Amino acid sequence: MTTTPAAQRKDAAGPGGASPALAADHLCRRFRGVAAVEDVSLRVAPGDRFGIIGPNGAGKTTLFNLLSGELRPTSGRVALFGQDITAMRPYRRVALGLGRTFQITRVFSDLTVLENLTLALHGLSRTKLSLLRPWRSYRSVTAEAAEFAAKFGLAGRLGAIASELSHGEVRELEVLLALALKPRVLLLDEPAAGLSPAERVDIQALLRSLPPELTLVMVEHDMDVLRGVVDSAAVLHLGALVVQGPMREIQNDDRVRELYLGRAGAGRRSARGLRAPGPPGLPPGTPVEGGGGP
Amino acid sequence: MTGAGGGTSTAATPSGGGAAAASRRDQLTLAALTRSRRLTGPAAGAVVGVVLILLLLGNGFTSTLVLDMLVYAIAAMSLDFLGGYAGLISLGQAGFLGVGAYGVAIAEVHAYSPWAAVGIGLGVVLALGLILGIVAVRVKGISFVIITLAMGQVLWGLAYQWVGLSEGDNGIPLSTLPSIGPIDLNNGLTLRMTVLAVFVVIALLLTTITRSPFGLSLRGVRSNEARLAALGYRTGLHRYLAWVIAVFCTGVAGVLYVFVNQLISPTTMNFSANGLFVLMVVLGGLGSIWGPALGAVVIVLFQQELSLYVSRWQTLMGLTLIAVVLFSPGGFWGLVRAIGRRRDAVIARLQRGGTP
Amino acid sequence: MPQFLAQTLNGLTLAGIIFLVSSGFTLVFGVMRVTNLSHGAVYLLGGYIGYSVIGVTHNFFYGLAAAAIAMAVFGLLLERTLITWLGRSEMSELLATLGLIYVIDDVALAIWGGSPLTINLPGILGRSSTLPVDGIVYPNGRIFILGVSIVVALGLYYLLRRTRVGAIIRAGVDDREMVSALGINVRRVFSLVFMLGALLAGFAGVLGGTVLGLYTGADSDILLFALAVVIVGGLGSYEGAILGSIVIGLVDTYGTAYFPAVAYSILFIPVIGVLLVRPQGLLGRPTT
Repeated sequence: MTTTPAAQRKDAAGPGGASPALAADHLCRRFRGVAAVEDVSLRVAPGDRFGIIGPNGAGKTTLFNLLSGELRPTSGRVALFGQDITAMRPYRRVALGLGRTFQITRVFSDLTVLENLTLALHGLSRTKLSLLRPWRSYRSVTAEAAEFAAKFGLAGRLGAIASELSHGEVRELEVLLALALKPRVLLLDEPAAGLSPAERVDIQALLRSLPPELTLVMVEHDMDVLRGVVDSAAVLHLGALVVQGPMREIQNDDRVRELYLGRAGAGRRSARGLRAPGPPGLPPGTPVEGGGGP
Repeated sequence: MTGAGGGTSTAATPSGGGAAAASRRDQLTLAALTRSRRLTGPAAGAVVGVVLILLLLGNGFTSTLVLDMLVYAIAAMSLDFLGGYAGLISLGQAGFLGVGAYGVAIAEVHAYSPWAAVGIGLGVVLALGLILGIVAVRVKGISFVIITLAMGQVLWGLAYQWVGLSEGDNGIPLSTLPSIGPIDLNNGLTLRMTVLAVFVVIALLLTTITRSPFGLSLRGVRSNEARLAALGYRTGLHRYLAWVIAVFCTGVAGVLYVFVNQLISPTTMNFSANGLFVLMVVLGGLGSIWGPALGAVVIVLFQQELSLYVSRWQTLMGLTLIAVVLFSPGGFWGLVRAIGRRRDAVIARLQRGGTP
Repeated sequence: MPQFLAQTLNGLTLAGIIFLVSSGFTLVFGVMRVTNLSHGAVYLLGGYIGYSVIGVTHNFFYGLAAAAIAMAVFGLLLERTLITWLGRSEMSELLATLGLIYVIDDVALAIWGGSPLTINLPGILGRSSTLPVDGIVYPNGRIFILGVSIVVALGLYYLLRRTRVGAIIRAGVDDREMVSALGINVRRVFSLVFMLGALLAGFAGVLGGTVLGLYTGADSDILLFALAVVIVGGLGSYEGAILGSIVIGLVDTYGTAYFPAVAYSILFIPVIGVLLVRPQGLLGRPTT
């Protein structure tokens, strides 16, 4: 193996690799004096598969919302491919190539899968204000929607109303909606949360099949999903950055181990390392099959 | 295909001949159902259209009733466009109808020609819609209902109290209707046909818009506005546009109203009138455009016909609204859609080859 | 100047009546997320019932009590039937209570007729006194209404801020699920709040019947005031109802006194102003 998958992805990223795909500089967010995120700086390179991990309450969701624009930072800045987007509302970040999914899935439940995807595909073009042509007549759009659905496991479900989909299918639709906007950077908010083991495998497969040029930033508890998808990560604790680097280093980092195994009596052992409830098992970092990199 | 699918049927087929007969019956049923799915809509539309034209040919009480229905239907459809698609239920629709009507009437009082009066009436409604829309789109859901209710009441209050402008309680009669070339709206028949034509145009316009990407975006707004915004849509703008379209169409209804009734008074805009429009939409079915038109027919009948026989018809109307909300929230059109879905399910099953 | 003082007192009196109606409305919304559009009709119905009871017993206070109790019972019945059947759908509740307005109005029309009625205040309340300020002569009844409203406002404040029940109610406004998760019988809280709202509205109806009168359309008028109050003060906020009532009461009174042609619409100015600057109301919480 001459190059690691991560290096292959970096090559695929092409020019423009000089400025990071997503960068956070000294981000702070306070809620009435309580610092949810304190002085966090990140660098995510184009094509990276990046994870944001940490125990519950570490500030992952707040950081995530700061990156996506749902929250404004108390101080600090966020940049997308070198461009300062700190003051931009979510829809403008979307136009610049930053997409996100939601943990509490927010699809259009009373619309069909096709309608969901059509809305997403019209998102970046002026055609969404078109008044007189039936939306079904935009053949290229409906064809693209069908293609998307087929490629990512929702073939044959185009006519189904979103509320009729299974939990896993809704998650897939969620990811598809974000993908339809052709993002350059995709933020994923716990894509595997609440899924059954079989569904988790599906989601992991979907995530791995995403194009290599796409930069992924993922908040996730499930170590299996993370390990299969993510190259490097940042670990948060109580709003501050503990360590950032390749997964291997993180798994072997003492501070991280202490975080998850805890100090005496407050230990948190779980198979996947980062979820409070769950069967006990191996702490993160214990070499498992093919531990030579995700 | 149907023959091979016979294996999936749970009913025991005694002999090969019986199975063949059953599958031929299925095929005929399938053909009939598919044809009905394609034709019922246009066929019903054609029948209704013919009936309306016939009713409007005469000059009596019936045609006046039909005219009322058509005018109110326009306002109801506009309300449905706003409420059933964008999710913004307005309790102030009658206010805008009144503004359109008063605009025309007041302009004529000030010696403007009938056509200019129409222009002024529509212009005022449009301007009001553009301005008030800025406030209206800042709120959603229940707050939106409340603010539109307030708007409607304030407009009514203006009509009632600004006596210098609106003649207060007496209302303003309209004397001359516009005429252009051969189309003289002062002629009863021409007026009636024009009202019908405008109704058809607006109905088609609204249904076309609901089928457009913009219409889909409105449904997205209603379904999950936050998500739509995350997809890059400026949802406030979309809601604003929907508002302006709905208000303008209601203004058109107002212009027609004052033509048909040749009088406009504050009663047309009072709280009860606003409630009636919402009733029409709920009865007919939120989110269907045609349903509320039907709702308008029913409510006008309630008002004009039922009131002759039942003095407590308003109680009946209120109870009907409550009953519809409790038992059939989709209104009349909801029932139609349910039947349509059953038919679709049967068709799908027949196509797959099972028993219906 | 004396005119201005008298108008201010009028405005505050109106504010008192509006407060009684809107506080119930806003609490019901805050705790139950129910927009009870028939709240105005409850006010009117209470007023009519009070009128009849006073007519029979010749006792104003019996009328007040009867209206309050009758409407409390009505509120309880309504909550246990219609509101419960409608579940959690906010829009359905709004629409159903809209339909209820027609029913109540029509029944009231059938029983009490369409002519405006006024409730007369007994004895000393029916007379006027000379106020120490500027020597104005001012009706005692209005002072009475103002006084009663203040007492009720303080009482409600005490209830909400200092009692356990009040704490539960405020918690319910904040987070309904949490309250039920704490093992508190949310259903009972709902019924209690709804009854309280209806009681206040019925009570206000009798008071309003003295200075504003009872007439067809009084329910829409008072409902409009209440809605203006909750927009200005914030949906769900008790203190907002107090603040909003004062604003709306004064604005409407000054408007009618000094700009009669557009008085109804002057009401709109604070409403639009708040919507433009702070859509959730002056004391409301930002809508999620």
